[in-house]
Amino acid sequence: MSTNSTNLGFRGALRRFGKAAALGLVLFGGSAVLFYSDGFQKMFAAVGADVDLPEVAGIEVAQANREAMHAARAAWLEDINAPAPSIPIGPDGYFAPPSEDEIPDGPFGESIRRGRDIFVNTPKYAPQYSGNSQSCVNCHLDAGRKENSAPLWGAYTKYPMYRGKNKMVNTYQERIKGCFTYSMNAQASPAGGPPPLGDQVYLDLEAYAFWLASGAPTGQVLPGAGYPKVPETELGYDYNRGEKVYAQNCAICHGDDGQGRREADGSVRFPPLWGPEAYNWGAGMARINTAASFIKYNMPLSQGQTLSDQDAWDVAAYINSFERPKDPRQTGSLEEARQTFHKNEQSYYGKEVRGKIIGHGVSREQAL
Amino acid sequence: MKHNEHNDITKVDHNFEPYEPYRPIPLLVIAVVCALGVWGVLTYIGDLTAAEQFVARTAPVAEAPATPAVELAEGLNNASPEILALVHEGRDHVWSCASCHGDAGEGNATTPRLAGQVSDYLFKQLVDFRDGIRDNAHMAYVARGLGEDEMRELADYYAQIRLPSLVGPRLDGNLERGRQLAHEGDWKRNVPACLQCHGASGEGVQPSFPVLAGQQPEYTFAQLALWHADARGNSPQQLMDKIVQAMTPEDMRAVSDYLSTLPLNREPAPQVQ
Ligand code: HEC
Ligand code: HEC
Ligand code: HEC
Ligand code: HEC
Repeated sequence: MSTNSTNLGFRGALRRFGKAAALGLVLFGGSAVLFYSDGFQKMFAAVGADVDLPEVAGIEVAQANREAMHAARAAWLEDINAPAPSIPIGPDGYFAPPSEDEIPDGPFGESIRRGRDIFVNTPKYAPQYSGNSQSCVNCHLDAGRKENSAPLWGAYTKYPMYRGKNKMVNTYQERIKGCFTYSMNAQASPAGGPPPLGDQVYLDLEAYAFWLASGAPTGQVLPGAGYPKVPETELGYDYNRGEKVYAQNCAICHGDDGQGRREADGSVRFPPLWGPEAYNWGAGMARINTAASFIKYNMPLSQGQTLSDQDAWDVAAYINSFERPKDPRQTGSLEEARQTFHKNEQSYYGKEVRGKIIGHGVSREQAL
Repeated sequence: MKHNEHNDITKVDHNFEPYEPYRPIPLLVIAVVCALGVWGVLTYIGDLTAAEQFVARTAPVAEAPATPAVELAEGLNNASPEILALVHEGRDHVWSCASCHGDAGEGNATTPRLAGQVSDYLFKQLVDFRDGIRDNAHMAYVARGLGEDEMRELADYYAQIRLPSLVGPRLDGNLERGRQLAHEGDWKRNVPACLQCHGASGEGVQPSFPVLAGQQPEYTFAQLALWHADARGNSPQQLMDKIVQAMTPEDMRAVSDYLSTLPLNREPAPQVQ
C-alpha cells in the first residue's frame, strides 16, 4: 500500500491535497450558503416536515382583537352602515377580556382597581368579611379571566338569574354574597357574616366584573363560562383511590396535609383545601361534582385537562372527605341540615367517612 | 531470469499498473475533512469573539462586586469546618464550590447564585445531578464525590446565606413583557404568573419552589432554554417543562431580565446555633 502511494511522489500528494482543499472550500461555501439562505428549511418544508417548534399564539392576539372591537365601535357610532363590532376572542376561541393596563383613569377606574384587589387578595382588602385564607382568585383563576374557572366575564352577563340554592331570582350582588357566605366562610370573619347588600365591597367587585365583561353579549351563555361538567364514570368516586392521585399531583403545592403553603411573611401561596382555613361545608366546591369540574379543567395549576375524568372525581372526593368549617345554615342537628340543604347532592356532608360522621365543622379555635 | 523473457511471469513489469494507483484515502474524504476543518476554525473564532463580547458586556456587573459580595454577605461562616473546607478548598474529586459559584455563593453568568436559595431545592438538585436526572457534566462530577449528608449540609449552608441582589438586566429583554409574565402570566398560552409558584416577590416557596429574584439572568435564561429544548428533565410533575415550551425565546429573555430586577428583601440571617 505504502509503496503504491509513494508512487505519487511528494508533489503529486501535494497536488492532490491542494485539489481536496479547494473542493473542501467549495463544499463548505456551498453548504454555508445553503444554510444561511434557509435552503434547508425550505427543502424540509417542501417535504412537509415541521421546521420550527410551532409558535403558540398568546395574549397579543386577544389584545389585537380587542383593539379591532374598539375601532369597530367607534366606526359604528360614526356611520350606522359600518359593520357592528364583533365579540373579541383570543387565539383559543374564548372571550378575550381587557387586560390590566386598559383600566380607565378616574373614579370608575379606582373602583375597578379596588374590586380587582379584593378579588385577588380578599383577606387583605376585605379583611372584615373574610373568615378563612381564601381569595376569590383561588377558584376563579387569572384574576377572574380564565375560561372554565367560572370567569367573571362569563358570570356578569348572566345575572339576574334564578338559582336553585335559594329558589329565587338572584342579582349579581346576591350571587357574590353566596361566595362570601360559603367560599370565604364569612361566619368566622370579624363582621361575623357577609357584607350587607349594597356594601362598597360589592360595588367594587361589580365594577370590576362589569369592566371585564366589556364586549361580551348579555342573554347568552358564553363558552368557557362556569365550570364545565365532568361526565360521571362507571366506577363512581372514591376518596381512597383519590389519596394516591392527590399525593402524586397535588401535594407538592397544597401540602400532604392539605393545608396549602405560605410564604415567609405568612401570606397564602397555595390555598388550603380543607381544615379551618378552607371553604366551608355549604360551598359549591364542597360538592364532589363541582370540585371535580374545577379540578379537571384547572388543576394541577397550568396543566388543566391532563387528569383523567376518573382521577378528577376521585381526588375531588378525597379533598372533600375531611372536616372544614361548618355550614352556616345549620341551626339544628347535623342530620336536619343534611336533609334540608344537602339531600341528593354529591358530598360527604353528614355521612360516614373513615368510621366517623363528618360535617360538624371545624373552627379556627378548635384547630388551635 | 533473463532467459525466460518471452512468456514467463517474471517478465511482468512490476511498475505497470493496469488500474489507477491505489490511493489510501479518496479525494472526497480529504475534501470533507478540509471543509469540516474550515468550519471548526470559524466556529472557534466565532466563539472566542462572542465570549469576548459577552465578557465585555457583563464585565462591569460581573467583576465589580467580586469583593463586595463577600463583604455584603451574612452567614458565610455558619457551617462546620469540614463543610467550609469543601466550599473553599474542595477535596480530590470535589472541586471547591466557591471556585465556580463565588466566595459568597453569588454565582456568575451561567453559574447559578446559591446564596439564599431554598434548602430542600438545592439538596434535590445535588441528588439529581448525581443520579443524572439533571444533566450537567461539571455538577455531576462534583456531586458524585459528595455523600448525602454533605449534600444536605451544603444545601443548608448556602440557603442560610443572606446576600442582597447583585444583578440587573443584561440580556436586552423587554422588561414590560417580562413584568407581565412574572406577575400576570399569559394564560392564553397556559403560562401562569411565574410568581404564583415562585413566591409573590420571587423569593421562593418552601420546599419545592426555588428563589428567582437575584439570580444571574444568564443562568435563568439558560435553564429556561434547556426546558424549552426538553433538555432539563428534573422538574417535578413537569411543571416547568410545559410552561416554558409555550414561551418564545424573546419571552424567555424578557422574563429572565425582569426577574433580575427584583430586590431580595428577606429578613437578615437568623442566628444559627
Ligand atoms: C373555594 C372556591 C371559591 C372561592 C374562594 C370563591 N368562589 Fe365564586 N364560585 C365558586 C363556585 C364553586 C361557584 C359555582 C360555579 C358553578 O356552580 O358553576 C362560584 C360562582 C361564582 C360566581 C358566579 C359564576 C357563574 O358563572 O354564575 C361569581 C360571580 C363568583 N363566584 C364570585 C366570587 C367572588 C367575588 C369571590 C370572592 C369574594 C368568590 N367567588 C370566591 C367557588 C369559589
Ligand atoms: C403547581 C401548584 C399546584 C398544584 C400541583 C395543584 N394546585 Fe390546586 N391550586 C394551586 C393554586 C396556586 C391555586 C389557587 C389559584 C389561584 O389563586 O390562581 C389552587 C387552587 C385549587 C383549588 C381551589 C380551592 C380553594 O380552596 O381555593 C382546588 C380545589 C385545588 N387547587 C385542587 C387541586 C388538586 C385536587 C390538585 C391535584 C390534582 C391540585 N390542586 C394541584 C396550585 C396547585
Ligand atoms: C466547575 C464549576 C462548578 C463547581 C466546582 C461547582 N459547581 Fe455547582 N454548578 C455549576 C454550574 C455551571 C451549574 C449550572 C448547571 C446547569 O446549567 O444546569 C451549577 C449548579 C449547581 C446547583 C443547582 C443550582 C440551581 O439553582 O438549580 C447546585 C445546588 C450546585 N451547583 C451546588 C454546588 C456545590 C455544593 C458545589 C461544591 C461542592 C458546586 N456546586 C461546585 C458549576 C460548578
Ligand atoms: C406551576 C408552578 C410553576 C410556575 C407557574 C413556574 N415555575 Fe419555575 N419552577 C417550578 C418548579 C417546581 C421548579 C423546580 C424544578 C426542580 O425542582 O428541578 C421551578 C424551577 C424554575 C427555575 C430553575 C431555578 C434554578 O435555580 O435552577 C427557573 C429559572 C424557573 N423555574 C423560572 C420560571 C419562570 C420564568 C416562570 C414564569 C414564566 C416560572 N418558573 C413559572 C414551578 C413553576
